[in-house]
Amino acid sequence: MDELYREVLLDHYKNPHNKGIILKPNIHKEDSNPLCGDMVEIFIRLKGEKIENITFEGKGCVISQTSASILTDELKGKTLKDVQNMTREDLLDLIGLQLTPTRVKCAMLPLSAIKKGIIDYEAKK
Amino acid sequence: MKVEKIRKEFPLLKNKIVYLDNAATTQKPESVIAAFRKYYESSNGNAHRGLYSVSQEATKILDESRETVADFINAEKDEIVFTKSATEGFNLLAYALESEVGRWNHVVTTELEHHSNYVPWQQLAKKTQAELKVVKYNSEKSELDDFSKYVTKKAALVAFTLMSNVTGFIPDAKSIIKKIREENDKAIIVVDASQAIAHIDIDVKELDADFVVFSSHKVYGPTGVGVVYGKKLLLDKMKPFLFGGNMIQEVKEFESTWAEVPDKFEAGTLDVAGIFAFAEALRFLNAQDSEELRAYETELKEYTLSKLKEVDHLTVLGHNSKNYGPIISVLITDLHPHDLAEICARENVCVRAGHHCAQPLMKSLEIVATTRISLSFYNEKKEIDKFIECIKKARKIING
Ligand SMILES: Cc1ncc(COP(=O)(O)O)c(C=O)c1O
Repeated sequence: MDELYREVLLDHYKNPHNKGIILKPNIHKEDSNPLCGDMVEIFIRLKGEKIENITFEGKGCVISQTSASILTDELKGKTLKDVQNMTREDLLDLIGLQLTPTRVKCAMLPLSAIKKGIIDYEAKK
Repeated sequence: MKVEKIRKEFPLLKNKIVYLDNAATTQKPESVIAAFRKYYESSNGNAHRGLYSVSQEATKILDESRETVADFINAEKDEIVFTKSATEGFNLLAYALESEVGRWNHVVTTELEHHSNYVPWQQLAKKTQAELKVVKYNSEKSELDDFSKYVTKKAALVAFTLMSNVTGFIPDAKSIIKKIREENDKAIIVVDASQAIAHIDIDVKELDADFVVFSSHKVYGPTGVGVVYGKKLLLDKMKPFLFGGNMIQEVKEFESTWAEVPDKFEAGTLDVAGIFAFAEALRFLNAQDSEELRAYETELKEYTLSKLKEVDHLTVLGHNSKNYGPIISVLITDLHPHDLAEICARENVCVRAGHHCAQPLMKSLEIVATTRISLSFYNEKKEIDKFIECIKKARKIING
Protein backbone atom coordinates (compact mmCIF):
# COMPACT_ATOMS: atom_id res chain seq x y z
CA MET A 1 0.00 0.00 0.00
CA ASP A 2 1.11 3.49 -0.79
CA GLU A 3 3.24 4.82 2.07
CA LEU A 4 1.97 8.39 1.78
CA TYR A 5 -1.61 7.35 1.94
CA ARG A 6 -1.24 4.52 4.42
CA GLU A 7 -4.15 3.37 6.51
CA VAL A 8 -3.49 5.45 9.63
CA LEU A 9 -3.44 8.65 7.67
CA LEU A 10 -6.50 7.91 5.65
CA ASP A 11 -8.27 6.94 8.81
CA HIS A 12 -7.61 10.42 10.14
CA TYR A 13 -8.78 11.89 6.84
CA LYS A 14 -12.01 9.94 6.74
CA ASN A 15 -12.72 10.15 10.46
CA PRO A 16 -10.93 13.26 11.62
CA HIS A 17 -10.35 13.68 15.34
CA ASN A 18 -11.28 16.96 17.02
CA LYS A 19 -13.24 18.25 14.08
CA GLY A 20 -15.80 20.89 15.00
CA ILE A 21 -16.00 24.26 16.63
CA ILE A 22 -15.64 25.47 20.21
CA LEU A 23 -18.05 28.16 21.32
CA LYS A 24 -16.24 31.12 22.87
CA PRO A 25 -12.70 29.91 22.27
CA ASN A 26 -9.73 31.77 23.78
CA ILE A 27 -7.86 31.41 20.52
CA HIS A 28 -9.46 31.31 17.10
CA LYS A 29 -7.53 31.51 13.85
CA GLU A 30 -8.18 30.76 10.22
CA ASP A 31 -5.37 30.22 7.74
CA SER A 32 -5.10 28.99 4.20
CA ASN A 33 -2.55 28.01 1.63
CA PRO A 34 -3.25 30.13 -1.45
CA LEU A 35 -1.24 27.78 -3.63
CA CYS A 36 -3.65 24.92 -3.35
CA GLY A 37 -6.52 26.34 -1.38
CA ASP A 38 -6.15 24.17 1.70
CA MET A 39 -7.97 25.82 4.59
CA VAL A 40 -8.02 25.29 8.36
CA GLU A 41 -9.74 27.09 11.18
CA ILE A 42 -8.44 26.44 14.69
CA PHE A 43 -10.33 26.77 18.00
CA ILE A 44 -8.53 26.60 21.37
CA ARG A 45 -9.96 26.66 24.87
CA LEU A 46 -7.36 27.35 27.55
CA LYS A 47 -7.13 26.44 31.21
CA GLY A 48 -4.38 28.66 32.60
CA GLU A 49 -1.44 28.26 30.24
CA LYS A 50 -2.58 24.81 29.15
CA ILE A 51 -4.63 23.81 26.16
CA GLU A 52 -7.77 22.26 27.57
CA ASN A 53 -9.45 21.63 24.27
CA ILE A 54 -8.51 22.19 20.67
CA THR A 55 -10.59 21.60 17.55
CA PHE A 56 -10.49 22.45 13.86
CA GLU A 57 -12.64 22.97 10.82
CA GLY A 58 -11.24 22.83 7.33
CA LYS A 59 -11.10 21.47 3.87
CA GLY A 60 -8.29 20.51 1.57
CA CYS A 61 -5.98 17.69 0.65
CA VAL A 62 -5.34 14.56 2.69
CA ILE A 63 -2.05 15.87 4.08
CA SER A 64 -3.32 19.18 5.46
CA GLN A 65 -6.47 17.71 7.00
CA THR A 66 -4.71 14.69 8.46
CA SER A 67 -2.03 16.90 9.91
CA ALA A 68 -4.74 18.95 11.65
CA SER A 69 -6.32 15.80 13.06
CA ILE A 70 -3.05 14.33 14.39
CA LEU A 71 -1.74 17.66 15.65
CA THR A 72 -4.86 18.57 17.62
CA ASP A 73 -4.68 15.13 19.29
CA GLU A 74 -1.09 15.79 20.27
CA LEU A 75 -1.57 19.31 21.60
CA LYS A 76 -4.26 18.63 24.16
CA GLY A 77 -2.84 19.32 27.63
CA LYS A 78 0.26 21.04 26.26
CA THR A 79 1.22 24.62 27.15
CA LEU A 80 1.28 27.47 24.66
CA LYS A 81 5.04 27.53 25.10
CA ASP A 82 5.25 23.88 24.06
CA VAL A 83 3.41 24.77 20.89
CA GLN A 84 5.64 27.72 20.13
CA ASN A 85 8.68 25.47 20.51
CA MET A 86 7.36 22.86 18.14
CA THR A 87 9.38 22.79 14.90
CA ARG A 88 8.66 21.61 11.40
CA GLU A 89 10.74 18.50 12.10
CA ASP A 90 8.73 17.74 15.24
CA LEU A 91 5.55 17.92 13.22
CA LEU A 92 6.85 15.75 10.39
CA ASP A 93 8.08 13.18 12.94
CA LEU A 94 4.67 13.19 14.50
CA ILE A 95 2.93 12.56 11.19
CA GLY A 96 5.70 10.12 10.27
CA LEU A 97 6.02 10.99 6.61
CA GLN A 98 8.67 11.84 4.06
CA LEU A 99 7.21 14.74 2.12
CA THR A 100 8.27 16.76 -0.88
CA PRO A 101 8.66 20.51 -0.21
CA THR A 102 5.28 21.34 -1.76
CA ARG A 103 3.52 18.86 0.47
CA VAL A 104 5.43 20.00 3.58
CA LYS A 105 3.54 23.27 3.17
CA CYS A 106 0.28 21.34 3.30
CA ALA A 107 1.36 19.55 6.46
CA MET A 108 2.54 22.75 8.14
CA LEU A 109 -0.68 24.66 7.59
CA PRO A 110 -2.45 23.69 10.85
CA LEU A 111 0.66 24.30 12.98
CA SER A 112 1.28 27.68 11.43
CA ALA A 113 -2.38 28.62 11.98
CA ILE A 114 -2.11 27.66 15.65
CA LYS A 115 1.13 29.60 16.09
CA LYS A 116 -0.34 32.69 14.43
CA GLY A 117 -3.40 32.36 16.69
CA ILE A 118 -1.18 32.26 19.77
CA ILE A 119 0.69 35.36 18.64
CA ASP A 120 -2.61 37.24 18.21
CA TYR A 121 -3.75 36.01 21.63
CA GLU A 122 -0.54 37.08 23.39
CA ALA A 123 -0.68 40.49 21.70
CA LYS A 124 -4.18 41.06 23.05
CA LYS A 125 -3.31 40.06 26.62
CA MET B 1 0.34 9.37 -37.34
CA LYS B 2 3.24 7.19 -36.24
CA VAL B 3 3.65 8.23 -32.65
CA GLU B 4 6.18 5.51 -31.86
CA LYS B 5 8.50 6.95 -34.46
CA ILE B 6 8.40 10.52 -33.18
CA ARG B 7 8.66 9.38 -29.56
CA LYS B 8 11.99 7.79 -30.35
CA GLU B 9 13.40 11.25 -31.04
CA PHE B 10 12.81 12.27 -27.40
CA PRO B 11 15.34 10.56 -25.11
CA LEU B 12 13.56 11.38 -21.85
CA LEU B 13 10.41 9.62 -22.97
CA LYS B 14 12.31 6.34 -22.93
CA ASN B 15 12.18 6.44 -19.12
CA LYS B 16 8.71 4.89 -18.91
CA ILE B 17 7.37 8.25 -17.96
CA VAL B 18 3.86 9.35 -18.89
CA TYR B 19 4.46 13.01 -19.50
CA LEU B 20 1.24 15.02 -19.56
CA ASP B 21 2.54 18.39 -18.39
CA ASN B 22 3.58 19.86 -21.72
CA ALA B 23 2.10 23.26 -20.94
CA ALA B 24 4.69 23.59 -18.17
CA THR B 25 7.55 22.62 -20.43
CA THR B 26 7.98 20.26 -23.37
CA GLN B 27 10.53 17.47 -23.70
CA LYS B 28 13.44 17.96 -26.10
CA PRO B 29 14.31 15.99 -29.20
CA GLU B 30 17.78 14.45 -29.53
CA SER B 31 18.81 17.04 -32.15
CA VAL B 32 18.20 19.89 -29.67
CA ILE B 33 20.25 18.19 -26.98
CA ALA B 34 23.00 17.46 -29.50
CA ALA B 35 23.05 21.10 -30.60
CA PHE B 36 24.64 22.13 -27.30
CA ARG B 37 27.51 19.71 -27.76
CA LYS B 38 27.93 20.77 -31.36
CA TYR B 39 28.00 24.44 -30.43
CA TYR B 40 30.46 24.11 -27.57
CA GLU B 41 32.70 21.69 -29.45
CA SER B 42 33.11 23.76 -32.55
CA SER B 43 31.65 27.25 -32.39
CA ASN B 44 32.01 28.65 -28.89
CA GLY B 45 33.29 32.20 -28.81
CA ASN B 46 31.67 35.41 -27.64
CA ALA B 47 29.37 36.61 -30.41
CA HIS B 48 30.09 40.13 -31.71
CA ARG B 49 33.33 40.41 -29.76
CA GLY B 50 36.24 38.71 -31.52
CA LEU B 51 37.80 38.76 -34.94
CA TYR B 52 38.97 35.18 -34.61
CA SER B 53 37.04 32.35 -36.18
CA VAL B 54 35.01 30.90 -33.31
CA SER B 55 33.71 34.31 -32.30
CA GLN B 56 32.74 34.99 -35.87
CA GLU B 57 31.20 31.54 -36.00
CA ALA B 58 29.12 32.34 -32.88
CA THR B 59 28.00 35.63 -34.42
CA LYS B 60 26.94 33.83 -37.57
CA ILE B 61 25.06 31.16 -35.60
CA LEU B 62 23.24 33.83 -33.63
CA ASP B 63 22.29 35.60 -36.83
CA GLU B 64 21.08 32.46 -38.58
CA SER B 65 19.15 31.33 -35.52
CA ARG B 66 17.43 34.69 -35.34
CA GLU B 67 16.40 34.22 -38.93
CA THR B 68 15.02 30.74 -38.23
CA VAL B 69 12.95 32.12 -35.36
CA ALA B 70 11.73 35.06 -37.46
CA ASP B 71 10.72 32.72 -40.31
CA PHE B 72 8.80 30.49 -37.92
CA ILE B 73 6.35 33.33 -37.19
CA ASN B 74 6.75 35.18 -40.51
CA ALA B 75 8.61 38.11 -38.95
CA GLU B 76 11.70 40.02 -40.09
CA LYS B 77 15.04 39.24 -38.49
CA ASP B 78 15.45 42.64 -36.83
CA GLU B 79 12.03 42.32 -35.20
CA ILE B 80 13.20 39.44 -33.00
CA VAL B 81 14.64 40.21 -29.56
CA PHE B 82 16.04 37.38 -27.45
CA THR B 83 15.40 37.36 -23.70
CA LYS B 84 15.81 34.64 -21.11
CA SER B 85 12.10 33.78 -20.95
CA ALA B 86 8.65 34.96 -21.93
CA THR B 87 8.39 36.42 -18.44
CA GLU B 88 11.44 38.58 -19.02
CA GLY B 89 9.91 39.58 -22.35
CA PHE B 90 6.76 40.95 -20.71
CA ASN B 91 8.83 42.77 -18.13
CA LEU B 92 11.01 44.26 -20.85
CA LEU B 93 7.90 45.58 -22.58
CA ALA B 94 6.29 46.90 -19.41
CA TYR B 95 9.49 48.80 -18.67
CA ALA B 96 10.35 50.01 -22.15
CA LEU B 97 6.79 51.12 -22.94
CA GLU B 98 6.38 53.13 -19.75
CA SER B 99 6.55 56.46 -21.58
CA GLU B 100 3.54 55.44 -23.70
CA VAL B 101 1.30 55.28 -20.62
CA GLY B 102 0.06 58.27 -18.65
CA ARG B 103 -2.29 59.02 -15.78
CA TRP B 104 -5.24 59.55 -18.11
CA ASN B 105 -4.70 56.20 -19.86
CA HIS B 106 -6.04 52.70 -19.43
CA VAL B 107 -3.96 49.53 -19.44
CA VAL B 108 -6.06 46.53 -20.44
CA THR B 109 -5.42 42.86 -19.68
CA THR B 110 -7.70 39.86 -19.05
CA GLU B 111 -8.71 37.47 -16.31
CA LEU B 112 -7.49 34.59 -18.41
CA GLU B 113 -3.83 35.55 -18.23
CA HIS B 114 -0.82 33.81 -16.77
CA HIS B 115 0.68 36.01 -14.02
CA SER B 116 3.53 36.95 -16.34
CA ASN B 117 1.14 38.71 -18.74
CA TYR B 118 -0.83 40.25 -15.87
CA VAL B 119 1.39 41.44 -13.05
CA PRO B 120 3.79 43.51 -15.24
CA TRP B 121 0.74 45.44 -16.57
CA GLN B 122 -0.83 45.74 -13.14
CA GLN B 123 2.42 47.19 -11.83
CA LEU B 124 2.88 49.44 -14.87
CA ALA B 125 -0.59 50.89 -14.27
CA LYS B 126 0.28 51.44 -10.62
CA LYS B 127 3.53 53.18 -11.45
CA THR B 128 2.06 55.45 -14.10
CA GLN B 129 -1.23 55.95 -12.19
CA ALA B 130 -3.10 54.68 -15.23
CA GLU B 131 -6.27 52.68 -14.71
CA LEU B 132 -6.05 48.89 -15.05
CA LYS B 133 -8.99 47.38 -16.93
CA VAL B 134 -9.45 43.62 -16.70
CA VAL B 135 -11.51 41.88 -19.40
CA LYS B 136 -13.74 39.37 -17.64
CA TYR B 137 -13.86 35.68 -18.42
CA ASN B 138 -17.40 34.43 -18.82
CA SER B 139 -17.31 30.95 -17.35
CA GLU B 140 -20.79 29.97 -18.55
CA LYS B 141 -20.04 30.72 -22.16
CA SER B 142 -16.35 29.91 -21.57
CA GLU B 143 -15.11 32.93 -23.43
CA LEU B 144 -13.64 36.34 -22.87
CA ASP B 145 -16.03 39.23 -22.56
CA ASP B 146 -16.36 41.62 -25.51
CA PHE B 147 -13.18 43.70 -25.63
CA SER B 148 -15.05 46.74 -26.89
CA LYS B 149 -16.53 47.14 -23.39
CA TYR B 150 -13.01 47.75 -22.07
CA VAL B 151 -11.07 49.33 -24.91
CA THR B 152 -11.76 53.02 -25.51
CA LYS B 153 -9.72 55.88 -26.86
CA LYS B 154 -8.03 55.98 -23.48
CA ALA B 155 -6.41 52.56 -23.85
CA ALA B 156 -2.65 52.87 -24.14
CA LEU B 157 -1.98 49.15 -24.15
CA VAL B 158 -3.96 45.92 -24.44
CA ALA B 159 -2.45 42.55 -23.50
CA PHE B 160 -4.08 39.15 -23.91
CA THR B 161 -3.25 35.51 -24.44
CA LEU B 162 -3.50 33.46 -27.62
CA MET B 163 -4.18 30.31 -25.59
CA SER B 164 -5.02 29.90 -21.91
CA ASN B 165 -2.53 27.76 -20.02
CA VAL B 166 -5.35 26.64 -17.69
CA THR B 167 -8.30 25.81 -19.94
CA GLY B 168 -6.70 25.76 -23.38
CA PHE B 169 -9.18 28.41 -24.59
CA ILE B 170 -8.13 30.17 -27.82
CA PRO B 171 -9.57 33.68 -28.07
CA ASP B 172 -10.36 34.84 -31.60
CA ALA B 173 -7.26 37.03 -31.67
CA LYS B 174 -7.55 38.32 -35.21
CA SER B 175 -11.02 39.70 -34.73
CA ILE B 176 -10.18 41.04 -31.26
CA ILE B 177 -7.20 42.90 -32.67
CA LYS B 178 -9.25 44.23 -35.56
CA LYS B 179 -11.87 45.53 -33.14
CA ILE B 180 -9.25 47.17 -30.93
CA ARG B 181 -7.69 48.88 -33.94
CA GLU B 182 -11.08 50.15 -35.09
CA GLU B 183 -11.79 51.66 -31.70
CA ASN B 184 -8.32 52.98 -31.03
CA ASP B 185 -5.54 52.81 -33.58
CA LYS B 186 -2.93 54.03 -31.12
CA ALA B 187 -3.32 51.28 -28.54
CA ILE B 188 -0.30 48.99 -28.34
CA ILE B 189 -1.30 45.34 -28.55
CA VAL B 190 0.74 42.65 -26.80
CA VAL B 191 -0.12 38.97 -27.14
CA ASP B 192 1.12 36.03 -25.12
CA ALA B 193 1.95 33.17 -27.47
CA SER B 194 3.62 31.01 -24.81
CA GLN B 195 1.11 28.16 -25.17
CA ALA B 196 -0.11 28.90 -28.67
CA ILE B 197 3.35 28.67 -30.22
CA ALA B 198 3.40 24.88 -29.82
CA HIS B 199 -0.11 24.26 -31.13
CA ILE B 200 -1.23 26.85 -33.67
CA ASP B 201 0.39 28.55 -36.64
CA ILE B 202 1.34 32.12 -35.89
CA ASP B 203 1.86 34.64 -38.67
CA VAL B 204 2.68 37.97 -37.08
CA LYS B 205 1.86 39.89 -40.23
CA GLU B 206 -1.61 38.44 -40.45
CA LEU B 207 -2.18 38.70 -36.72
CA ASP B 208 -1.18 42.38 -36.62
CA ALA B 209 -0.32 42.50 -32.89
CA ASP B 210 2.47 44.94 -32.03
CA PHE B 211 4.28 42.47 -29.80
CA VAL B 212 4.24 38.68 -29.56
CA VAL B 213 5.99 37.00 -26.66
CA PHE B 214 6.91 33.35 -26.01
CA SER B 215 9.50 30.97 -24.55
CA SER B 216 11.65 28.41 -26.33
CA HIS B 217 11.16 25.72 -23.70
CA LYS B 218 7.44 25.36 -24.40
CA VAL B 219 8.06 24.58 -28.05
CA TYR B 220 10.64 21.78 -27.74
CA GLY B 221 13.63 24.12 -27.33
CA PRO B 222 15.82 24.56 -24.25
CA THR B 223 15.11 26.66 -21.15
CA GLY B 224 16.81 30.04 -20.86
CA VAL B 225 15.63 31.54 -24.15
CA GLY B 226 12.61 33.78 -24.68
CA VAL B 227 11.45 35.76 -27.69
CA VAL B 228 9.88 39.17 -28.08
CA TYR B 229 8.67 39.91 -31.57
CA GLY B 230 7.98 43.63 -32.00
CA LYS B 231 7.06 45.88 -34.88
CA LYS B 232 10.25 47.60 -35.94
CA LEU B 233 8.93 51.16 -35.61
CA LEU B 234 7.97 50.57 -32.00
CA LEU B 235 11.19 48.77 -31.12
CA ASP B 236 13.16 51.69 -32.57
CA LYS B 237 11.22 54.14 -30.45
CA MET B 238 11.45 52.28 -27.14
CA LYS B 239 14.01 52.89 -24.45
CA PRO B 240 16.36 50.03 -23.55
CA PHE B 241 15.59 47.70 -20.66
CA LEU B 242 19.05 46.62 -19.53
CA PHE B 243 22.27 48.58 -19.86
CA GLY B 244 25.78 47.22 -20.44
CA GLY B 245 27.73 45.46 -23.13
CA ASN B 246 26.48 44.87 -26.67
CA MET B 247 23.63 47.39 -26.50
CA ILE B 248 25.88 50.40 -26.90
CA GLN B 249 26.70 52.60 -29.84
CA GLU B 250 28.94 54.97 -27.94
CA VAL B 251 29.69 55.63 -24.27
CA LYS B 252 31.01 59.04 -23.25
CA GLU B 253 31.71 60.05 -19.69
CA PHE B 254 28.23 61.36 -18.98
CA GLU B 255 26.18 60.24 -21.98
CA SER B 256 25.61 57.09 -23.98
CA THR B 257 23.86 56.22 -27.19
CA TRP B 258 22.28 52.91 -28.02
CA ALA B 259 22.95 50.30 -30.63
CA GLU B 260 20.36 49.41 -33.27
CA VAL B 261 17.48 47.03 -32.62
CA PRO B 262 17.69 44.16 -31.69
CA ASP B 263 21.08 44.74 -30.01
CA LYS B 264 19.60 47.66 -28.06
CA PHE B 265 17.53 45.15 -26.07
CA GLU B 266 20.15 42.43 -25.76
CA ALA B 267 22.59 43.74 -23.18
CA GLY B 268 25.16 41.26 -21.93
CA THR B 269 26.28 37.95 -23.37
CA LEU B 270 23.34 36.06 -24.79
CA ASP B 271 22.70 32.35 -24.36
CA VAL B 272 23.94 31.69 -27.88
CA ALA B 273 24.17 27.92 -27.32
CA GLY B 274 20.55 27.92 -26.15
CA ILE B 275 19.45 30.10 -29.05
CA PHE B 276 21.19 27.75 -31.46
CA ALA B 277 19.48 24.76 -29.84
CA PHE B 278 16.16 26.61 -30.03
CA ALA B 279 16.62 27.14 -33.77
CA GLU B 280 17.35 23.41 -33.96
CA ALA B 281 13.99 22.72 -32.27
CA LEU B 282 12.25 24.84 -34.88
CA ARG B 283 14.10 23.01 -37.63
CA PHE B 284 12.88 19.77 -36.07
CA LEU B 285 9.30 21.04 -36.23
CA ASN B 286 9.71 22.40 -39.75
CA ALA B 287 10.79 18.94 -40.87
CA GLN B 288 7.50 17.40 -39.68
CA ASP B 289 4.18 17.51 -41.42
CA SER B 290 2.65 20.18 -39.22
CA GLU B 291 -0.91 19.52 -40.36
CA GLU B 292 -0.53 15.92 -39.38
CA LEU B 293 0.86 16.85 -35.95
CA ARG B 294 -1.97 19.31 -35.31
CA ALA B 295 -4.61 16.85 -36.45
CA TYR B 296 -3.17 14.21 -34.15
CA GLU B 297 -3.11 16.60 -31.18
CA THR B 298 -6.77 17.41 -31.82
CA GLU B 299 -7.59 13.71 -32.02
CA LEU B 300 -5.80 13.12 -28.70
CA LYS B 301 -7.66 16.02 -27.12
CA GLU B 302 -11.01 14.66 -28.29
CA TYR B 303 -10.08 11.20 -27.04
CA THR B 304 -9.12 12.62 -23.63
CA LEU B 305 -12.36 14.57 -23.36
CA SER B 306 -14.41 11.50 -24.22
CA LYS B 307 -12.60 9.41 -21.60
CA LEU B 308 -12.99 12.11 -18.96
CA LYS B 309 -16.70 12.24 -19.65
CA GLU B 310 -16.98 8.68 -18.35
CA VAL B 311 -15.54 9.61 -14.94
CA ASP B 312 -18.06 10.37 -12.18
CA HIS B 313 -18.06 13.69 -10.35
CA LEU B 314 -15.64 15.22 -12.80
CA THR B 315 -15.99 18.59 -14.54
CA VAL B 316 -13.86 19.81 -17.42
CA LEU B 317 -13.29 23.58 -17.52
CA GLY B 318 -14.55 24.93 -20.83
CA HIS B 319 -14.02 22.81 -23.95
CA ASN B 320 -17.58 23.47 -25.09
CA SER B 321 -16.41 24.45 -28.58
CA LYS B 322 -13.59 23.77 -31.01
CA ASN B 323 -11.70 26.88 -29.90
CA TYR B 324 -9.49 25.00 -27.47
CA GLY B 325 -5.96 23.69 -27.59
CA PRO B 326 -4.87 20.39 -26.04
CA ILE B 327 -4.80 21.72 -22.47
CA ILE B 328 -7.47 20.38 -20.16
CA SER B 329 -8.19 21.32 -16.55
CA VAL B 330 -10.48 19.17 -14.46
CA LEU B 331 -12.20 19.46 -11.11
CA ILE B 332 -13.16 16.31 -9.25
CA THR B 333 -15.53 16.79 -6.34
CA ASP B 334 -14.14 14.09 -4.09
CA LEU B 335 -10.44 14.37 -4.99
CA HIS B 336 -8.22 17.30 -4.13
CA PRO B 337 -5.87 18.15 -7.05
CA HIS B 338 -2.80 17.68 -4.86
CA ASP B 339 -3.82 14.21 -3.81
CA LEU B 340 -4.60 13.17 -7.36
CA ALA B 341 -1.35 14.61 -8.77
CA GLU B 342 0.63 12.90 -6.03
CA ILE B 343 -0.91 9.51 -6.68
CA CYS B 344 -0.32 10.05 -10.42
CA ALA B 345 3.31 10.88 -9.65
CA ARG B 346 3.71 7.56 -7.86
CA GLU B 347 2.61 5.85 -11.07
CA ASN B 348 5.08 7.96 -13.09
CA VAL B 349 2.24 9.97 -14.58
CA CYS B 350 3.15 13.67 -14.69
CA VAL B 351 0.19 16.00 -14.35
CA ARG B 352 -0.08 19.39 -12.76
CA ALA B 353 -2.08 20.46 -9.72
CA GLY B 354 -2.49 24.02 -8.56
CA HIS B 355 -3.53 27.47 -9.72
CA HIS B 356 -1.18 27.40 -12.75
CA CYS B 357 -0.01 30.97 -12.11
CA ALA B 358 -3.46 32.22 -13.02
CA GLN B 359 -4.97 33.41 -9.74
CA PRO B 360 -7.22 36.06 -11.33
CA LEU B 361 -8.89 33.27 -13.34
CA MET B 362 -9.14 30.99 -10.29
CA LYS B 363 -10.85 33.79 -8.32
CA SER B 364 -13.22 34.49 -11.17
CA LEU B 365 -14.18 30.80 -11.37
CA GLU B 366 -14.38 30.62 -7.56
CA ILE B 367 -12.00 27.70 -7.40
CA VAL B 368 -8.54 27.40 -5.89
CA ALA B 369 -6.86 24.74 -7.94
CA THR B 370 -7.36 22.32 -10.80
CA THR B 371 -5.66 19.20 -12.07
CA ARG B 372 -4.33 19.91 -15.54
CA ILE B 373 -3.20 17.64 -18.33
CA SER B 374 -1.60 19.15 -21.40
CA LEU B 375 -0.79 17.14 -24.48
CA SER B 376 1.85 16.98 -27.18
CA PHE B 377 2.06 15.09 -30.46
CA TYR B 378 4.32 12.57 -28.74
CA ASN B 379 1.61 11.46 -26.32
CA GLU B 380 -0.31 8.24 -26.86
CA LYS B 381 -3.87 7.24 -26.18
CA LYS B 382 -2.69 4.58 -23.76
CA GLU B 383 -1.09 7.32 -21.68
CA ILE B 384 -4.46 9.00 -21.35
CA ASP B 385 -5.89 5.64 -20.28
CA LYS B 386 -3.21 5.41 -17.62
CA PHE B 387 -4.21 8.81 -16.26
CA ILE B 388 -7.86 7.73 -16.12
CA GLU B 389 -6.72 4.60 -14.23
CA CYS B 390 -4.92 6.88 -11.78
CA ILE B 391 -8.10 8.80 -11.06
CA LYS B 392 -9.83 5.54 -10.25
CA LYS B 393 -6.93 4.38 -8.14
CA ALA B 394 -6.75 7.67 -6.25
CA ARG B 395 -10.43 7.51 -5.56
CA LYS B 396 -10.07 4.00 -4.22
CA ILE B 397 -7.10 4.87 -2.00
CA ILE B 398 -8.54 8.06 -0.61
CA ASN B 399 -12.23 7.44 -0.46
CA GLY B 400 -12.11 3.70 -0.02
C1 LIG C 1 0.41 31.34 -20.95
C2 LIG C 1 1.78 31.52 -20.37
N1 LIG C 1 2.39 32.71 -20.43
C3 LIG C 1 3.63 32.91 -19.94
C4 LIG C 1 4.34 31.91 -19.33
C5 LIG C 1 5.69 32.20 -18.78
O1 LIG C 1 6.68 31.50 -19.44
P1 LIG C 1 8.16 31.44 -18.84
O2 LIG C 1 8.04 30.84 -17.48
O3 LIG C 1 8.91 30.59 -19.78
O4 LIG C 1 8.66 32.83 -18.77
C6 LIG C 1 3.74 30.65 -19.23
C7 LIG C 1 4.48 29.56 -18.55
O5 LIG C 1 4.07 28.89 -17.68
C8 LIG C 1 2.44 30.45 -19.76
O6 LIG C 1 1.83 29.26 -19.69
